[in-house]
Amino acid sequence: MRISSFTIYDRLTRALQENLRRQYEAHESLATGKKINRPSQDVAGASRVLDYRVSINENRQNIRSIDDATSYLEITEGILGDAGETLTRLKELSLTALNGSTNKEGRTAIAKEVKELKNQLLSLGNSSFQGKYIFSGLLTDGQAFDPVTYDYQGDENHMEVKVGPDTRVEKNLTGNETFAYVQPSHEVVAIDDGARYIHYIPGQAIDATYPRSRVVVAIASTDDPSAVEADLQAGPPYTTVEDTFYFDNMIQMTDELQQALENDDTTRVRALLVPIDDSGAQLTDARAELGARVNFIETERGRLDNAVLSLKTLLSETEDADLAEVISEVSKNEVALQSLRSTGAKILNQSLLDFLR
Amino acid sequence: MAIFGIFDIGRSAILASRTALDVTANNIANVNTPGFSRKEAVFDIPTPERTRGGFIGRGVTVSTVRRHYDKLLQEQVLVQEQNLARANILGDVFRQVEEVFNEQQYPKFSDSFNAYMNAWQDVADNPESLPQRSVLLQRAKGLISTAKEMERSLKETVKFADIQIEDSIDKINTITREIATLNGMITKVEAGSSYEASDLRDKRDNLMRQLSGLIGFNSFEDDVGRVTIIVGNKTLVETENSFDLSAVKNFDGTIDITAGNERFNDYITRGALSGLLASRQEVQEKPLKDLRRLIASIVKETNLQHRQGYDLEGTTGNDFFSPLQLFALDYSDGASVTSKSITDPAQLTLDEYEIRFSDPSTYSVVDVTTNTTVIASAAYTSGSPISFDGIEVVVADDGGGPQAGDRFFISPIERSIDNLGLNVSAAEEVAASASDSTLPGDNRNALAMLDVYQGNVADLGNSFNGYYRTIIALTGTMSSTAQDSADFEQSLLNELNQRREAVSGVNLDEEAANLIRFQKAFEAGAKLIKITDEMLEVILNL
Repeated sequence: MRISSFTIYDRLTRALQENLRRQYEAHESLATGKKINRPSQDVAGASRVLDYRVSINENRQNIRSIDDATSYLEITEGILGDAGETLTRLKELSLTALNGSTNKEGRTAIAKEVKELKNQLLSLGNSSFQGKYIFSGLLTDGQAFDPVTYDYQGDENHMEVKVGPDTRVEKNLTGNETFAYVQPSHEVVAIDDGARYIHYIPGQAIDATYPRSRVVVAIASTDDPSAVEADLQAGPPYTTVEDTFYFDNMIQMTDELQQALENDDTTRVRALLVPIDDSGAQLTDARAELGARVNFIETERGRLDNAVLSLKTLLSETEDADLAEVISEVSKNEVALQSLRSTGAKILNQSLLDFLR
Repeated sequence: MAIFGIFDIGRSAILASRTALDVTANNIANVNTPGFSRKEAVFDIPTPERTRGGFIGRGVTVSTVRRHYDKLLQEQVLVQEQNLARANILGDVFRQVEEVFNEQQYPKFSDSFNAYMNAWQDVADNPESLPQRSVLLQRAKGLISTAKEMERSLKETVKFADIQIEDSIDKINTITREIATLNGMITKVEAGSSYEASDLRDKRDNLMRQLSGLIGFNSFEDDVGRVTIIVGNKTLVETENSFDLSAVKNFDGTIDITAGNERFNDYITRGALSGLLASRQEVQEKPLKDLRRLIASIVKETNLQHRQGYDLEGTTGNDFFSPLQLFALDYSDGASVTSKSITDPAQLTLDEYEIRFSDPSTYSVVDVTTNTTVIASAAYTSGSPISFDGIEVVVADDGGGPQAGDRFFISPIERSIDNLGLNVSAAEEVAASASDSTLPGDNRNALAMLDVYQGNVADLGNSFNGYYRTIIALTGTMSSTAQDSADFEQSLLNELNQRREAVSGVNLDEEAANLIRFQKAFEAGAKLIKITDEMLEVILNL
């Protein structure tokens, strides 16, 4: 083939261009630390990178939600722990009040402490965290318990938290699940004098029109539950029922205790011993439930952390440049470029014209 | 033969050498001129004289100046330059489009969308608190501006293509006029002589190479040396006349090419112009449309879910983003779309439609995205609504009424990014709750929103992030394919150019050798005259 001057120049410039282009790409990889700098360099890889990033983001956001829910659950658990201690103290005080050595004045003094405990339970029930009332269900902008009647005024709904792609966890317990006193079935306890019985009656069973009452306590002269219930349903004047009172929750229960102590009504104080015990057990159950949830989401959090880590590894494997490889590529290119330049300079400098003198 | 005969031979040698030196000098001077073909002085023997001893030559003449030129190769180079010009434009434009979606370097849609989604989850964690809701609105605004920025960049590539199309048409017209002029000059110079108008031809070849960069054409030369240039079914240059192309604005605002009032786009298959037309169309039909569809789908699904929820004030049925609006384009002189509305967003498919008239009183509605018929055939009444897929359109006469072949284009996605905005204006208006009786702690609608964002969307057949990934893969593939084919065409052209150079290129070493060769011949010729002169002197002194 005939070689023209242009052919030589053209070859050389193209070879230089090609080498410089490779050098530029290697430098870009070094500058960004990535081997995929635009999708066209590796279409499938770039698509995977995006997928990994989306997953990492979702997992991180779920971890964020978990952390938020964990603190919420832990605060709730702490509050229930405090309430449990309050109930223990309440039990002690009730027993002291019923002790033969405690007189009326003693009971009045105890009533004062019971009042303090009641206020403590109320403020625990109305605890708020991050500006929301913890035990109000979804009605988080209002106190869970009315400060005068101590009635529950939240709802029964739960707030779900997204902690995984398809996993949700309830992060709240409602006031009724924690502070309400639940009487599962009719229970009869005999009083020491042998002629009277305390009936603990699930409230709604005796009067459908008055469903607020979770439990009705009746002191009667018979241990026949159906006779007592019939008597209550018939309304006053009662034939077997000597005394009756009711309450929904622990705060109201404590209120009843306070009033009984103030009125020196030891029968009522005695009648309240069972609900106080049960309430304590109920709070322990609730705390166990919370503990289980915290455990679950912490396991979930660990799983998500692991997932983020392995996704990051995959991401790095897919998009990050192997620096050692790139650097050796750069030096290889440099050698090629240098030899190209020096030979180019030699070829281009010489012409027959140089030798014509 | 007289002694003066030697004078003549010497003179012819000097003259021929000088001509050859001229040609060599011209070659050297044009070593870097693009399109220049090497010339060579062809020496010839004049008719010899008969003497008693036989025939003796009468010196030398330059019979012609030969142009080293391979016509076939030249044509191949032209076609290859046309191919390369197209491939280069496609490569450049798709590279730009790829950058618009390049998440590898700068955060784009995916980042904004994820931040926006995270903000929804923060709201779900704390539905009653305003800061999280305010952040959500900020993130939504971020998403909106990212989408707008990306659309703007894509539209700019389209606009840039339009500007370049107009420029190219001007250049093409200038070049074809020059070629027509050169046609005339070449014919005049070559008429009645056996000489080629080499340099004029080189100049014309060079213009044709420039034209190849712009537009694909076929050419042939007639018997008096004029080239005819044909594109598709149109002649751009014939004899000494050229015919201009012109640019006209389309219905949709883009530039079309016409020749003698006829739309010319489809005849242009090679050259930069074809690359511009093809890339413009591809950008509009794929990434731009896909992005708009994605945003339209986000707006649609978000609003549908948001409408079901309740905000902190207990109001419901509100859109989160500004609702989608229909876009209509009339391809008709006698009727127009007078009103258009989305009657049921839930039924909207995000496909695009055309209302087509087969005659002035019958229309059909075709889903042009899936190419299926929505309404097979219906009678047209001016001003009465046409309803399909949650859309209601009113077409009414504004002149002679619709004619057969008239079309009305209806799209719910065309302006989805243009009209993209927030409908909620305050943090309280984010509907995170599923009921107005469970405020403010209810996050069920916010959780449902997250399910929408992370699940599959029927209209897209994918999740939002998944659909976006397909757009990235598409633009990446478009770009890499275009770059590969540009590289391929370039190497083909290099190969052809080398072959062309082998025939027509100037080699300075060769020319330097020729310089010496003809210089020596010149010196020898001069010596001849000197010797003859001395011989004459001897005779005269006898």
